[in-house]
Amino acid sequence: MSNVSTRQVILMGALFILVSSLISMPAQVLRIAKQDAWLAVPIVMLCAFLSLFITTTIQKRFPNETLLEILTKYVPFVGKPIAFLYIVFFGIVLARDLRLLTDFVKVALLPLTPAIVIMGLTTVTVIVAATSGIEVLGRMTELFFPVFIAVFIIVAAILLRDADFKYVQPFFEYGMMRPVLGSWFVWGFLAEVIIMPLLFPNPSLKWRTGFYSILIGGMMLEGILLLATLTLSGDVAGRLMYPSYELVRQVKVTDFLDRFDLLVVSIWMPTIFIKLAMDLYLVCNGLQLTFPALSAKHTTTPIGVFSIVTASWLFRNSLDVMRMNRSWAAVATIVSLLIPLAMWGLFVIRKTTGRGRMAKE
Amino acid sequence: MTRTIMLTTIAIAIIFAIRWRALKKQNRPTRIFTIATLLVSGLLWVMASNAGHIPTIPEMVEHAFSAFTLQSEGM
Repeated sequence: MSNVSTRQVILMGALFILVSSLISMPAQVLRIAKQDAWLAVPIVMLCAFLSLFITTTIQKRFPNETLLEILTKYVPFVGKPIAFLYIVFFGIVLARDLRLLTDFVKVALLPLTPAIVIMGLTTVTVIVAATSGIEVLGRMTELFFPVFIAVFIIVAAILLRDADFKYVQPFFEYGMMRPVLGSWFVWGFLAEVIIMPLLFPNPSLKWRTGFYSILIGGMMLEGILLLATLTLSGDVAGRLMYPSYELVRQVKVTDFLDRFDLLVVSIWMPTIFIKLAMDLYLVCNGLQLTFPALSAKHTTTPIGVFSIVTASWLFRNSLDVMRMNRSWAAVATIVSLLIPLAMWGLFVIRKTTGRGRMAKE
Repeated sequence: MTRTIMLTTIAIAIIFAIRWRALKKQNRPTRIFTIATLLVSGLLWVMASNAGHIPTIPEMVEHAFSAFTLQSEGM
């Protein structure tokens, strides 16, 4: 299915879990966990590691096959509905991210442009990228994401001079439950790491590859939460709609570059296009695997148009997306932990007890 | 209402015109899927912009998972 290098897989996984979670999720975590928000990410990273461990263990038994191929090929009766569930899940993620991006662009860059125009232009780009295939997306990631990481490190280094450690104290002022509740929001986004086994087969994706992806994405998210707490304080950052954007707006590089935020947004923008394209690519390929008569390449345009409609009318605004985040983690738990666990029971345990031999055969 | 229907029809017609050559080369199920999805998208757009409210995903998810919903973010 894919011809991407290990480095590209690591970067794509990290990009996928990071770029859309930077928009509005930090505000929700900071609002609920206040100065202990930084604790929310490590808790969730452990769950994401577990999810990938389970799926990569399954994939080890089926070399050169993605999780979707395993589901549709070896247990089609149960597997196809589950594959369809994954398609719906990532279809909603596509609509949500499109909505988040549109609202962010409207607020930060183009306040007078109608949302539909922003959505349309974004979708056209995303359709072209998704039609080009996963290899092209891998190369795009290799080009843009390291630059994004470099800018992130520069921003963090500049902001450190304004950091004040009194903002993270006292520890656990509101009890241990707050960071745990904050991690509920983080999980809704980090659980999307399940896209890796759905896109990449075993030689490209191994447990260690996924581990590095989650580590890079998780550490950068942790850095954003920590910086927002240290420079803006949990109380103030929690009241903002886009704390990470406000954080970047604090950066001023002398007089010649006082709108540093524009530079950062222009580097971040291609990365979220890649994420949207990965969503669309997975939805179309998943549809082809579930319904073999359909052509993945030719369904990208109608699915892209459909995503504009769903993004516009299933979320009336960004607040609707934030409202969904409160319960989205429950859905994410089902698709990222419970279904892989059930599959693990089906493919790995059955195999070791000698009842199922479909893998090697 | 008329304006929305007109604009949506034009938009769908433009997409069809752009995709026409590719549409002719596709197999039958893909062609049916493409046409159906584009028409449903147009219909949903017109319906939602005029009828006002269709259940949003947050509402559906909250309804289905009400037991797992964090009711108050501010505690």
